[in-house]
Amino acid sequence: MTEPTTVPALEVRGIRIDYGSRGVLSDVSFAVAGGEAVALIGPNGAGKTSLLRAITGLLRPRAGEVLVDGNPLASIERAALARLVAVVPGQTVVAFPMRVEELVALGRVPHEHPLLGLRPVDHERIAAAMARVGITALCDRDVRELSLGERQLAVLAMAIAQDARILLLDEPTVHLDLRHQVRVMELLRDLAARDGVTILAVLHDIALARLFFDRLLLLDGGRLVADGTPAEVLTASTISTVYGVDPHLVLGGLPG
Amino acid sequence: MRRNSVPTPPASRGKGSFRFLLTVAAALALAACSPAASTPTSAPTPASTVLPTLAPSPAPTITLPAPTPTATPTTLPTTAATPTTSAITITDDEGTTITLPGPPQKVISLTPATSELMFALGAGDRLVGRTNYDDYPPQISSVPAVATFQGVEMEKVVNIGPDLVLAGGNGFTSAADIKRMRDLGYPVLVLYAKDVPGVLADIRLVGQAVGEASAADSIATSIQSQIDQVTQAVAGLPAPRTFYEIGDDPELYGPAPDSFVADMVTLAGGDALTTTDPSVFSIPVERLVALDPQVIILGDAAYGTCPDTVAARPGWESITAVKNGDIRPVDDTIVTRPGPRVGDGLIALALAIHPDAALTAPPDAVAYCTASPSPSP
Amino acid sequence: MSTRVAAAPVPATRSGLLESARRRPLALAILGLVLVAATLVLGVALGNVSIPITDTVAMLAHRLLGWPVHVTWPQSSETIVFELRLPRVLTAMAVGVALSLAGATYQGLLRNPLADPYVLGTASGAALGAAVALLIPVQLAFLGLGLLQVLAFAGALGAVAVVYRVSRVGGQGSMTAVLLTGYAVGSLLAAGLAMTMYLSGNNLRQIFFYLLGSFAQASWPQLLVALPLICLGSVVIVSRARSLNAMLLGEQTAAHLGLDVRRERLILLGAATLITAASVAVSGLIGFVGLVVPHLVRLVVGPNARTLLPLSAIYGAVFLALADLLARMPGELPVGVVTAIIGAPFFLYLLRRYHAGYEL
Repeated sequence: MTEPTTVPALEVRGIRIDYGSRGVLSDVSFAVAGGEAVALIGPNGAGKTSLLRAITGLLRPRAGEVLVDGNPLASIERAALARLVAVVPGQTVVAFPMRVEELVALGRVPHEHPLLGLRPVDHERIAAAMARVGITALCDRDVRELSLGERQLAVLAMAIAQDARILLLDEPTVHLDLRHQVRVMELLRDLAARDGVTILAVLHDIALARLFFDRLLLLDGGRLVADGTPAEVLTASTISTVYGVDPHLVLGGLPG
Repeated sequence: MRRNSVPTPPASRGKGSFRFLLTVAAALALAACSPAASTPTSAPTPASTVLPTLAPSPAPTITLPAPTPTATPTTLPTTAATPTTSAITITDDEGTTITLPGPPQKVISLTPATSELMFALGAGDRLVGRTNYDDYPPQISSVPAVATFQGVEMEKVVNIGPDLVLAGGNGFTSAADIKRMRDLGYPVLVLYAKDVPGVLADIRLVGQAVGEASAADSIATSIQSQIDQVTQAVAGLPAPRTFYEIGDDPELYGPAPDSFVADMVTLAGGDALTTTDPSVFSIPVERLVALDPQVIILGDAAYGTCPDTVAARPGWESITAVKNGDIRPVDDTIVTRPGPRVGDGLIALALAIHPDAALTAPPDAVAYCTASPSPSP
Repeated sequence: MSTRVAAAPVPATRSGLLESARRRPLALAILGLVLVAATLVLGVALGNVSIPITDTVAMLAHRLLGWPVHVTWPQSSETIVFELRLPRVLTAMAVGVALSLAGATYQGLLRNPLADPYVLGTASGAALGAAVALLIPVQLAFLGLGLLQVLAFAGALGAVAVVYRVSRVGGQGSMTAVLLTGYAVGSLLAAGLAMTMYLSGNNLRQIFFYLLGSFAQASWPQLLVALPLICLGSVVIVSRARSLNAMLLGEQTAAHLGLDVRRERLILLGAATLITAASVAVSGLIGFVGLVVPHLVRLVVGPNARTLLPLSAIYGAVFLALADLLARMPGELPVGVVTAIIGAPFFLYLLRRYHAGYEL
């Protein structure tokens, strides 16, 4: 049986990043197919954020390359890249009073007319994104008055409005209460399953990663030490080696 | 005729200067060939307040070192006009030459000295604008004020439409205002006297500009005789170190070196103590104490500074003038104003420095601080 | 556990009027333009010398619109209106546009509500340049500008260039680094200014007048030099509204939205500084306009630069022209004092009423 060879939506080959003389990432490689949802986990300082920055183009790797739809990242023009890849930051600081709708509208920046601004199609996509995330009722509220969970949903809506086929998330559930954490995770699964959006999420919460993602990438000390299903990746030995904690804390059951 | 309001582009400025020189040359030629009978002076009508000789180009811009005006203090200004012709050409103390078609009928004076002078020359009826701090003679209050300490109120000047403006040099009238008036087409004479002979020269200059040269001459001559009187009266008397206090708030102000006030003190028989630099008017108290004046003249007596207040100042006790009680007030408006009463001022100053000099106090001088006799410590 | 980051009290709900104003930016723009025209007429109609309003309107119609009107006014009135008042009002409007746009741009670039056009050292640089010009005993006449204007302009541009350069030492200069460097360089320049003022003696008075800001010396030659610079910079800024919008959530997000952040930052900074320098050169340091006008507009229409920028420009012109009118009515008040007196209380009121918390 032959598998059709499709170009992976996102591929990372042999990425190496150094900060000065300190090595941060070495020889990281993996590929994510279109419509796949992957969680990137690992302890603090493992290099998750650096890897994400390399993928989004903010950091140039010392060695290796990133390919989007088979094309080297370096060859894609920034504006065009924004139409392919959307990034959801973990925290946002809003300096001025801004309505939720205006925040979500920022997602249309890569698409809107430089001078004329938002056209009907843009307004439609904004409304659709808010509906998808379920925050239409909040559209006139000031972003700074929302709870952190609601704000994160708004930022997610912004990324969705960007209509990108690849969604990268940098610790999107920090500070969120459980309800909103679950909401965000479910949304991500839904986006991948229903809309075919490729998702790569950096998560600090392995419990969430285990529950909602079918594939995990475990990063430790700058290296990709495991790539597979949660069961394959989160074994008792990896948990205790990488995280240095009793595996039962993660896998369930009382510590023996 | 409507004046072109669009400013002349830089390219034509050069042509403007050339045209201006031609006009001056033409005026000179006219002056040489005109008949002996004096031509009647025509008052400009309201609709044409700009002199034809200067419109439409603005006055030529001078690129000279600014603070040191090229004054001609002791020589009479060169003139090409004879009393019988109407055209008047004059060069002011900054070296700018202007030409008037005839004796001006609407003069604006921007310094108290020139305002006084206009009246002294008998041309007070032709004064149509003054500063709001001009105070002499009393009838000047009926002349509208067009300038304050903040500057010249340009709209009022334009509304009046003067045919001559008398301004103060060395920053008294701001250079920007002078330039603005010249750009608008009004002839501006800038006057600045560095010393007493310079004041006499300025009096003659203004007299000539307004067509009252002989009146100016007699004023200057009478002042000169007052100067000679003072010089004679103080000759042979030892010249005490004299500090003329111009003001004391917020700093101590005194005459600058090479200034008119310093020259007055010297002529009045004093050894003038000055600030360190011609552009500096404040003097630190320590410096004054070190200079140790023998006589202190209070030019700020009009503002309430009297000998006993000065004697009580902390740190001043060691000064000779304070110890001997030689602190005397004067009427500063006649001493420091470079105008027609400067001769009276010189006499008053000489008497303040040398109370026993053979001079008669000028009758109009205001006496300050007489209510509180200064107690000698 | 959900935590709140912004400790803002619950604000009053926006009044219906303000809400409908927000939805109609075009109406606001038209209203603004009407106010511009009205302020222009008012500005040339009023002054130290009273000229009948009918004469003024007739003069304007005659000269600007070419209507055949019988001339009933004296030449001096026409000179006052067209040589003194008109360039003054137009200069005030141009500077109002420039400072408002520059303020909005700096606030957006630095993401700091307290930013104004002078925050990167422009003010100190210009003031130092002006002071040095007054110290140098050389007079210059170049296109109607004096040495003071030229050096003030150069000082303003130079200060920001230095700030930008210094803040980039050590790699990518974040805008916070630029802001802090601006503070430091500004302080250094202020020290230089104090020294120059100390050395200048007699000219101190002139420097003070410059520092307080004024349109009293406005003239056609100056306007005709400053206006192209202000227009150029303003057009650059307004056409880059999208870039400012993208920066609302920070430079990283802006990059993710497809912006060439370094290039846009440089262009916007350059344009804002250019128009600020041109304004400072012709009118001295006028505060408050660049800070308050964008805030007021933003409070009504929100942070979207596409509406914020044009409306800030229009209302900035009206504001400053009116302030100048008020400044010259009683005597010659420094216009910066008037802008502060009008702007501050109104701004405080709006802040209290609608929004109190600003997170940085």
